[in-house]
Amino acid sequence: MAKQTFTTGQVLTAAQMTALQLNDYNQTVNAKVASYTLVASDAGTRITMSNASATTITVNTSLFAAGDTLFITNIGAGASTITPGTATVSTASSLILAQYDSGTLYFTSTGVAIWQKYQGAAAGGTSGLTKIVTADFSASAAVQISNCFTSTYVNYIIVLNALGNSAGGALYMNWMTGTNTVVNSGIYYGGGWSVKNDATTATITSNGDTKFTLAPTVATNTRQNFTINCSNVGNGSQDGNMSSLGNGSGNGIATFAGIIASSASTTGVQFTGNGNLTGTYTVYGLAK
Amino acid sequence: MANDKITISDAITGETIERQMTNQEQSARDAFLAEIAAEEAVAKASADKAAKDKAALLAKLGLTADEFKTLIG
Repeated sequence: MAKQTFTTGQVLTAAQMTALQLNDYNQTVNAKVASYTLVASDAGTRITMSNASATTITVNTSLFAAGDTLFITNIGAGASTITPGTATVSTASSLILAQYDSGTLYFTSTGVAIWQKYQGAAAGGTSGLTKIVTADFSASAAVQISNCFTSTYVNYIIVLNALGNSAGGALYMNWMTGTNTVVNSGIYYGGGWSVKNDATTATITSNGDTKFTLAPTVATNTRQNFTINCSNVGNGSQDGNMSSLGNGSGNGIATFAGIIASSASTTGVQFTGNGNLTGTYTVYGLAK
Repeated sequence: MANDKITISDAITGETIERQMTNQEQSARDAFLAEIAAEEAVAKASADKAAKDKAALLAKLGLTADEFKTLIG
């Protein structure tokens, strides 16, 4: 319902009250399919734009009062651009709404509005890397990242930075299912190798093992980093597999690739060592 | 003795917590460490045996390790 002006002594009808309530609980939507110029009655409502081609939404002055707010959502495949007409539109973000993007116009005076854009979840996940979660950990015997693998992405990249192990031993990785159920049965397979600066080499194997061994030795210092690619995770019945590369063997390098012989949906990951781990992890989703 | 610390992040809520392991988690952790220790013991025994066999073979040949390296180029 558009904004109403009530007068002193006026008796409100049930229909008016219901319409006003509806705008709070089920916002009035003005659905548009062609380029549109905002009008005064749009205040407090949501404008939706749905067009396969590009459109504009024009903002003019002297239509809205200070404090008026309206919401704009682009449903269509064509980009919709918030276009200052006679009004001033101030923003630190883009005026262009891709499909499923939304934003808010907040008027600070009749001729000036502030535009705040919200990124659409679907549009944000369609290409490139998207940071899913990041956190520091310190002196932890186990580090678990729950619910980081979903059907939103096909591949994932986990980056471990400034990793240290209080006991200077190996770095291990387990898949998790459900909320945080660690898979630790003997169904891990894979192999790798490591080379230290002193030319010492070692092979790493997981043949029906209870975990992946990413590096035979993670030194006690915190200057080591791993990049771990994960695929076939978070998408239902698949055998989760991974490959990692890190400077995890003392001051050398270590690489490992493995797969788990289970089609249970992998939702998360756990890192452990024979000592306590310190560092930072970041999980990125990689869209097609 | 207090249980070990575990760090858990939930990517959906964005929340990260640090807490002591439950007794069940600590039992699993202890079993894991025992497994690692056993694996390391097996690996060490294997490496020790290989070194011992190598030394015995060199002794039979009457060569030092450096002489053997020179011999095989």
